Amino acid sequence: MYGVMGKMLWVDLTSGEITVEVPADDLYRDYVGGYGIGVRLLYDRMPAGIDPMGPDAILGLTTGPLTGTRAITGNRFTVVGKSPKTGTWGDANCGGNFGPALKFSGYDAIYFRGISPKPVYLYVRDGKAEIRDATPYWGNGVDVEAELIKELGDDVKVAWIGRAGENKNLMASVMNDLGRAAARSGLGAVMGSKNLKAVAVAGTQKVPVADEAGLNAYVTESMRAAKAENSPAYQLFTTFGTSGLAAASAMNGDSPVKNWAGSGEVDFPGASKVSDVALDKYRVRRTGCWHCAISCGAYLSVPDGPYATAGAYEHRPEYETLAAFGSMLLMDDTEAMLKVNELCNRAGMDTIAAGTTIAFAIECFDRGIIDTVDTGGLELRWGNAPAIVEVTRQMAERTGFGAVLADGAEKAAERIGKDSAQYAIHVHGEEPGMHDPRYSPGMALNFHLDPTPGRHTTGGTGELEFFTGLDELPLPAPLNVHKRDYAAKGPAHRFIVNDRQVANSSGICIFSSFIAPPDALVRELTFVTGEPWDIGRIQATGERIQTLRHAFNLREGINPVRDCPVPKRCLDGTELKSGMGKGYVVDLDAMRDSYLSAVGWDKETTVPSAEGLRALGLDDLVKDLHPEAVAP
Amino acid sequence: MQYHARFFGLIGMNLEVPPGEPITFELPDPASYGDLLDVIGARFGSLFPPNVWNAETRSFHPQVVAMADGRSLASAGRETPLARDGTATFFVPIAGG
Repeated sequence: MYGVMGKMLWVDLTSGEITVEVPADDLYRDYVGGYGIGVRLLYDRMPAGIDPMGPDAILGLTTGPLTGTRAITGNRFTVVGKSPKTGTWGDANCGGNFGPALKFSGYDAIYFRGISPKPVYLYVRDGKAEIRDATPYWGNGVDVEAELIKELGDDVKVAWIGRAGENKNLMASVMNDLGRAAARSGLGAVMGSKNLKAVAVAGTQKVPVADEAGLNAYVTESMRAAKAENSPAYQLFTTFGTSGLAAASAMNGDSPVKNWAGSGEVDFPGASKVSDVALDKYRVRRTGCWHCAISCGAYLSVPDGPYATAGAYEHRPEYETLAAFGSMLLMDDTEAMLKVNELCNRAGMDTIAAGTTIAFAIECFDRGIIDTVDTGGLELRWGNAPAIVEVTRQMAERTGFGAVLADGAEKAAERIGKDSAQYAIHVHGEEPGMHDPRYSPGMALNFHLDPTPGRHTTGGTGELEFFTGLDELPLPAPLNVHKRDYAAKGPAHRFIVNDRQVANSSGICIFSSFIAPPDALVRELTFVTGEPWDIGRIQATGERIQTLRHAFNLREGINPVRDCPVPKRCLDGTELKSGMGKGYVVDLDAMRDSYLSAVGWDKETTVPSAEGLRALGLDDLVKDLHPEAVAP
Repeated sequence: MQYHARFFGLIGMNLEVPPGEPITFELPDPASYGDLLDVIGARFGSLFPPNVWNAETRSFHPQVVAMADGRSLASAGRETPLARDGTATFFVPIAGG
């Protein structure tokens, strides 16, 4: 096989046994890599109903065939497991430099099961793997990435958890590259539950590419054309990264405001203070993920004052962070924003979940449900930067009032009680991404139906509805649907979701579309794997992966129609005073019915038909989802 | 008539006010989106980053979105009438992060 190393590492942290698995070629062909292969293996090897933080839980760090190749933005890795936050399928996708290094170490993926009796890290170099003591790095906030690079060599790349993961906070993420997060699904808590502090990888092995000359020529020409065009989106990304979106999004109604109760500039006039140019004043230098031609990152520093950053520099906050701690909390203090971003990155904490949970706490404080006696003296008020910074610190350490909030809004509401649950904005336990469906309605379908609830990066019409509507873009049918034509969205949503499953599983970044030609995924997969890829195969493969992710949840007894409601605040814009979602009510039921019809899933139970499963090559799922159809 | 525009992020980084701050333009009454583009080009055309503004066609790059009252002015076309004392926002839409 091309594009893959052809080996996976299995590590039993209870026994210390390490084994190498050589998967069949069909696994790569049918499920690509990343969370595609991840969900196939975990569906098969992790029974339903297990404790996601127990010894039977499997945690995977996985790559795709484009990871570590010259493919445009081919640098992603994925963390997979059962989410302790939602009890659903869990995955999170991350750039940086860890993914390519994992492949260069000789493996496509590393899977962990069991629980180590003491803190450990795994060290893999050129095929050799060893479990090592991590006690010196546990419980003290030490910069484990820097320490392991110092100890093991400059070529080592490290995925790690911070204090949030060690404390098993359900919003803990897996980090790498000085602050890049695989944030969603709470899988950092799973890593923490296994006493696994870090995974350090290095190696000199090369990813085999079927047509290396073809790939090189294609990428070189694509990059030449992108740089020659120098489009505004390309310039925006290379200048400001996703922070270049924050102010416009807050003003137009894309960003949720004040715990999803407000919208637009009327409710958050300070948006420009935590966006693009304002942040850029603190820039030390630009940075990017491994071999990325966009390089949307930067390091920022607050050299002194109450919010001085602890290290030499910190990653520039991403849009999601700026919205979650900015418009959601009405916090427009630029330096406080950089400080909470640093705290979350060092602790390894999902900023969407953290900001949303603090927004919930502030609303509870504002409404008198909690007071300073509950918060340990913190004046949790809208925009009160010192209190927001302090409670963020407490959440990472699970101390003080932070212990109440450390597991997300749903759990915090359970702990606070007193009718506070109505102000906890989550979908089946996960705080939704920072894109308001009243502005981009298709986003509600992702929050509701994606197997990782509340998700914003797994494809769908919502991603193209941020400004106008798909009908105003030069797109062919069925993609050219008006964003308010709720009952007609299913086919377009299906197409984009399927495409994204393959893109995510292949190891590229969703932002590659800003510079790569539209056919890049097909062309690059073909060059790298030597397999004949086309749109039809992308669609079938993507639907196979998405169906299996969904089936994982069905087997857990989770039906999104019943169990994953999207809060009314995310759908009803009739009381908004500004923003482009003002006055609209998103008809989620109509969108869902349209999508379920398109994919052939039952509208009540969301169970895929037996025929549909077989058509996707998922015959083995028929016995689980349609036991009545299988002869005794 | 007066009309206002706000240029966000990349588009507004070199102008006379910080990005996102409203800038007021004097337009004929009644005025169209094309009238607004003409005065924007005359005042700021040389200040926008490369490829953002096309001086020949007196228009923004297609990736630049212009919104007013919840609708896309660029999609509606140059003849689209503008409301007195209204505000258009110009930005490059990206998502995620």
